[in-house]
Amino acid sequence: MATFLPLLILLLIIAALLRDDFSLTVVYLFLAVSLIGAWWGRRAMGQLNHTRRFNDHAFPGEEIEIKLHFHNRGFLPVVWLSVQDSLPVALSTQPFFQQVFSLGPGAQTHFTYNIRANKRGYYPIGPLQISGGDILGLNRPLHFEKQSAYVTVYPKVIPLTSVRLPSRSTQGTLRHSQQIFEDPSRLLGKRDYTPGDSLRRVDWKSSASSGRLQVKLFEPSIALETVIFLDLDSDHYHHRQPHEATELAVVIAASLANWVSNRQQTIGLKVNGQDSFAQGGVPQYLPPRKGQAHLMRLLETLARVHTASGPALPEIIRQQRHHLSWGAMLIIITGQADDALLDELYQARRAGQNVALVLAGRRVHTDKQTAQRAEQFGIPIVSIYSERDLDIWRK
Amino acid sequence: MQSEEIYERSKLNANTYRLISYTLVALMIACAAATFATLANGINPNFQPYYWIGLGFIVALDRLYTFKVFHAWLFLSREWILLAATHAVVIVAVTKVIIGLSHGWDVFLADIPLWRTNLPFSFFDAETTFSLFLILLVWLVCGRFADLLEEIGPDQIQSARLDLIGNDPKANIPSRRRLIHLYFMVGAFLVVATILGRINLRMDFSTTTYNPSIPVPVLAVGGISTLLYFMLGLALLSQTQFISLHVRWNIQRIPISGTLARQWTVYSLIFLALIAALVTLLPTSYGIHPLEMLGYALNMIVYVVLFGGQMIFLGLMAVLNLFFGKDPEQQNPNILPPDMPGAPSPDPTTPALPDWLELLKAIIFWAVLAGAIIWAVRQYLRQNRQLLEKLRSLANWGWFKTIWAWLQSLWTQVKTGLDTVASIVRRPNTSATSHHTGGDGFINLRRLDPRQKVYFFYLAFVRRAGEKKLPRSSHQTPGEYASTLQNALPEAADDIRALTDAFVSARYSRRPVETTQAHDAETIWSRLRKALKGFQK
Repeated sequence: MATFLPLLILLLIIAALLRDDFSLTVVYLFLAVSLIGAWWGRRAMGQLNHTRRFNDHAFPGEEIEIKLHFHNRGFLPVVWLSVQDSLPVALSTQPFFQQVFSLGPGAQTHFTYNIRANKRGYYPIGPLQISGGDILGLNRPLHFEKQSAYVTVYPKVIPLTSVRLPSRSTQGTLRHSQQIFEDPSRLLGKRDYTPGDSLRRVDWKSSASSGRLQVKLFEPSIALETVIFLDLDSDHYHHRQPHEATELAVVIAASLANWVSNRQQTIGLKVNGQDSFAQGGVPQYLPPRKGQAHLMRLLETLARVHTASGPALPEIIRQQRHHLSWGAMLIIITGQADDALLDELYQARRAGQNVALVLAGRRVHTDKQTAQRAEQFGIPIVSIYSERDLDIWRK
Repeated sequence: MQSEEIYERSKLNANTYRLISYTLVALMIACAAATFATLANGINPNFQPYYWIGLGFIVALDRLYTFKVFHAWLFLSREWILLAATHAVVIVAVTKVIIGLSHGWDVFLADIPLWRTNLPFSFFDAETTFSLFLILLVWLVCGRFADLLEEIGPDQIQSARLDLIGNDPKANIPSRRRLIHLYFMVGAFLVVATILGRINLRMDFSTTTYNPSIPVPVLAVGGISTLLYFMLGLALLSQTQFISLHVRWNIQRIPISGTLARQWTVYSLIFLALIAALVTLLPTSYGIHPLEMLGYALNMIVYVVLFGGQMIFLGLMAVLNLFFGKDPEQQNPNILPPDMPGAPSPDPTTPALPDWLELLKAIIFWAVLAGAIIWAVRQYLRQNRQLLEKLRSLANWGWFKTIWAWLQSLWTQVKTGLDTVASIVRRPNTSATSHHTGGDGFINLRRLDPRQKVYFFYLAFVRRAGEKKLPRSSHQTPGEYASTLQNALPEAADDIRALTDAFVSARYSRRPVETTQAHDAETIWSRLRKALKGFQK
């Protein structure tokens, strides 16, 4: 408009002085061009409806189909429309999805593109940038932006079958091979009485029917209220492969959580990393709960968290373990264990809670000393160097 | 996609682009030539240089298509001069032949022997010289058009091929903008030529008076060719916009829909047809003729300026006479004041129309004019922020700001009213399935049960709060949203909490909702509505 404003003013003055309708016609022409051009562009873009649909949760290796739908609800055509949807680099080889097209009155179109859930995480899809303009290019192009949506890629979950976790519980719901405690509600069988057997174990009915004293045999069991403490401070992992080691730690945590949850046990999670979704970036503590929904929530947290220098693990354990019941299982997953951690775990043991220490990633030079101290404290240690090592819990 | 691929793919587009754009430019030049030919014919009815149209078209096409050949040689190099000379000879010869033939075959044949006797003057007569001057102008203008068209289209493709994007020294002023300037510059000359032709028709040369009441149709005296020039220019702008965007998208490797070019052409034609229809329909002359008022005002300004000038001149003369004057009679030069412009009077030649139609036309005219001026000034100020800042520093800015705010609020009210009317008109379609609406599309409150009434008042509250820039986020529960609102409206905190609790109770519990509760919700909603009305974020 500014381009031909002087010409228009001049023509208007000429039209007024000479009372000439031709000048006025030219004025009309350019006013119409400018006004209709601007109005058309804005109106058409204003009537544009766009949606982005996709499955916002995926497991590693899955394809995520993203559908972009555009609908021109107005009676004016959208002459040109350029759309650009930013994609996460970790999930796509292309940084953008881009397309240029035109939409007639009432027309609608959709575009589909796929990304691959290569790696766990919480990824933004978008923002979707939409540009359009008038047909003559006399007005500036109009730009709109649709906010990003997020896709959660769960961590890899390795199905475990035979995780051996120690127990001190006399009663529980899970059978356990370690015969420390037996559950009187789980009858395994009967045998002849031998001196020393408690009279409480005598099965009087079968003794009467068999004519010999019979005692009941019970299954050993554990009652798992398990909480996983995941250390995501990269300084606590081997300095050469901190990323790989922390990722392995996440996989271990997810697999253990899945295993516990599948056995109808309660499972909780505390991470000392960073969660961009959480308020203040501090990952929310998930107290022990049962059920698939809880497991998915837990996996979502594990999908989002990443390494950060947070509060020290012993401090976190100290804060949380007071809220846990006697006999609860504390699984600590970290890269290395120092004296402070072992001391804290020892305190937990003394308080009647079970602890297990899982060291993820390559060995650090303090591992041997750690193992000796842990053995003294009666704390079992499992070292997992790679995902393949998880096979020890799959046999 | 590699640069080479882009180049190959764009080559076909470039050829099509050249064909269309060159044809459009040649037609525009032909229109321009028609306007000048009409003007020349108007000035001298015996002179009929309508062959300029064809000549202009041919020379324009020649220049556009040979532009690259000329461009390949260094300016004023031996090859360039040779090329230019051969072109000049051919063009002069063709021009001479066409001019000769335009006067008739016999005249042309009779004219040829004269060339030999008095070559420069008989060959380059006034008509030929003037025609060649115009052809030179066409040559230069078309060269400029070709240069800009190459820059917009094929040059960009070439730059993309050589990865030179971003190194263009002319990038400070985009080529399209320069093309628009050129288009308007040539257009301005044509408008001047057309107006001169129209003045020529209305001018009484015996009395040197201009008679605007002589009817001259809009399309007469070069009007149609000038308007056609502008319309063809708009088509050219549309095409260059397309190619410019197309090249840019190709460079950015953005996939382009296959139907875009076709749709663009269709929409361009629709747009131009719409413009043409609108320009044809809008009133330009009528009995009341509001322009006369504007013309009268301008004449008054001219009168005041002239009168002021004369007064200064007189004062100066009087002072000079005091020092150098000898003859007292000569001290009073006989300078008459300029004639006062006459007040506008109804045009007797304009056919009488009913009063209401005159009034309607006047209203349309002034509404369009006022709207366009306001809009243009607004756009201009937006593009010139410094000027706006200076205006803001003026003393009377506050006063203007108040008026502007009032106008804006007035507009908002009108817009809200229109939106309401529009929503009422649309509602019957969407509410046909609703159980609680009357036949006219409104929600009938009396038909709602107490629970639904509570829903209604709460949702009305949420909607109104959203209009006041306190929208509810999709993740917020009613309680969380209430907390947000309580922070924004602390004086209405109790009411917000009460209405939210009533809604939560009605929505999420099975307890029956009494009529009194619905009535209470209505009372609370009334208070909240007032509170929201006075709220400004």
